[in-house]
Amino acid sequence: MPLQSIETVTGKLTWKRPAQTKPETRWRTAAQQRIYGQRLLQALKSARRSSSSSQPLAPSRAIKEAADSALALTAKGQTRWSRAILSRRWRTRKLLLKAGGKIRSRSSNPKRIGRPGLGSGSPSDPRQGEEEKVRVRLRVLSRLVPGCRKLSTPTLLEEAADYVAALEMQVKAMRTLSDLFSSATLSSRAES
Amino acid sequence: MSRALPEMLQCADLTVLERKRERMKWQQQQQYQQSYLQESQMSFIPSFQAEMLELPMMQEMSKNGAENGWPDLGKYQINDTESAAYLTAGFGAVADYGISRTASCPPVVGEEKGGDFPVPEKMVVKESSKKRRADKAATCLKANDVVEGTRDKRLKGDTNEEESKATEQNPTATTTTTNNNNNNSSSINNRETSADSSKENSKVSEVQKPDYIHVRARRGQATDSHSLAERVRREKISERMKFLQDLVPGCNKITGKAGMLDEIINYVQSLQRQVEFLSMKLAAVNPRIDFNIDNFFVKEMLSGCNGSYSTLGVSQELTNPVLLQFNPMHQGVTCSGMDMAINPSDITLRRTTSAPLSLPDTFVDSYFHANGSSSNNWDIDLSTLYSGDFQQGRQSGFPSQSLTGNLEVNNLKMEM
Repeated sequence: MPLQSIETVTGKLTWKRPAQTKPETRWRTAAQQRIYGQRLLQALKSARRSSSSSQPLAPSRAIKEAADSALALTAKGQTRWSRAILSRRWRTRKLLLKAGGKIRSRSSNPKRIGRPGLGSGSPSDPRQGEEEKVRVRLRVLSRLVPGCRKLSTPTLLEEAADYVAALEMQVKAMRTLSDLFSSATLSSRAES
Repeated sequence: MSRALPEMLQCADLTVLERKRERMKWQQQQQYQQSYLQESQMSFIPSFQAEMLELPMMQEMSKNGAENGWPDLGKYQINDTESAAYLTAGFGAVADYGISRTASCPPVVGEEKGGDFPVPEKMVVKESSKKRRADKAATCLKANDVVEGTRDKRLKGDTNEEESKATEQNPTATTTTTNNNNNNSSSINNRETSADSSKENSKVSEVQKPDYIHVRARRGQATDSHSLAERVRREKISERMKFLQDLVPGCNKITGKAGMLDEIINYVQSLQRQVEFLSMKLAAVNPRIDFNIDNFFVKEMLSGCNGSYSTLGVSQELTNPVLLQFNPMHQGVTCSGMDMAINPSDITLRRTTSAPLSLPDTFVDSYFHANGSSSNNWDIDLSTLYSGDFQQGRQSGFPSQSLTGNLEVNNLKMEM
């Protein structure tokens, strides 16, 4: 019995071990950024095309989803959050097909209210022990990282680290693109 | 050429037969090179030359021993001297610009000789690069062999150590670990003995990776398996927390898990909000820029095939008719760019110097007249910035505006 428990624990750990050293270098390499830039552009193009035809989503929403799924594709589905993003996309699409767009508008509001409520309410409570505080934060964090609601703490932290690095890169790429486009449109506006 | 032969003869490691074989090989190569030199005498272009001179030289100097290195060394020396002489004899005009030998810019050649040579030139370049690649592959193979040998040794050492360590541990753990060690070392032995079927063996070794970790209980700590596992878990958590702390800015000063987690949560939220905001911004801009995306995408594709950048740049330079009829201003600029590009690892610079060439002639003229004064203090960041400006200018067709947006394109380097 004790032998078995050790084996299960170690099995999990070694499965995670190779992925652990990767993210610190992976998302900050130029190659990864270039790949993501290409994917992002492709996704933007397709998002524009689909939104112009017939899509109930708002344009900014469509672009955000396109950028997210591009990010997940760049992560190659090796991490949990990327798989979650991809599957979420499929799920929402299926739901939208079923319900005709009624569900999304209802479900998006309480989520947005509920998130900061948990985050801001917990630190003000003085009688919480350190343990409890940490647990609450971890729950909040697990809700922030897609697809990590029911994970053990070490796995959650690992996923969070990878997700943070990926988000950083995404922000960088999107900012560059938007700067480029805005300056281009500025100049074209000045021209006309 | 004359230096290479004694080098080989001095080489004491080789046996007589080997030496003979090497000499045969060398002679063959020499003949081949002579013919190919004559064939390509008129066509030395900067990127080709710089590569031939520096990149392989350094690699081979560092990588391999005498047996593989000397013919190549000889070859490059030949090329060096030959081309230098050729340069000084042929082009007094180039010397006016005060350029070193690597800056024998193609525009001058094109002006004097006309357009009859580009095709053989390209051929030669391709050939040489192929050959070089083969050489590199051979050296890489050798290096890999050596590395693998050492790694095997190291692995063996490790396993021995671990075996000795494992005996100190509690009995349940020792049984599993020793088993694993045995498996591991046997797989290593397999790999050593039959190096031919390395694929299978690597698979085997992957399967038999050691699936254990070392937990050492200090004095007074509990040693039953549950608390050991708990300790491992806590170590993992703290390790990951440290990693996250490095990742999140401003998280280094905070002590305590709760504060750190707060900071991490805030950072993730802010990043997600930024993504949302940026996507709104992009959506606002998006309807007007679909033609821009096309341009941009083509450019990214070009920059994407980074590995064959030299041949790509060369062919761009060759196939471009713009290149053959420049104003001297542009020549000067390209020359200074080439001077900067002596270090062949500056891929971006090389690419950016060839990037302006694909622009329409009139635009290039106007642009370089606009800031020709700043062409003296080029550095790499500046040049990439310029290329970004070019791109932008092409998108809008309005260079003066794109100059104002200069600072915003600062991050453009990331895309390349």
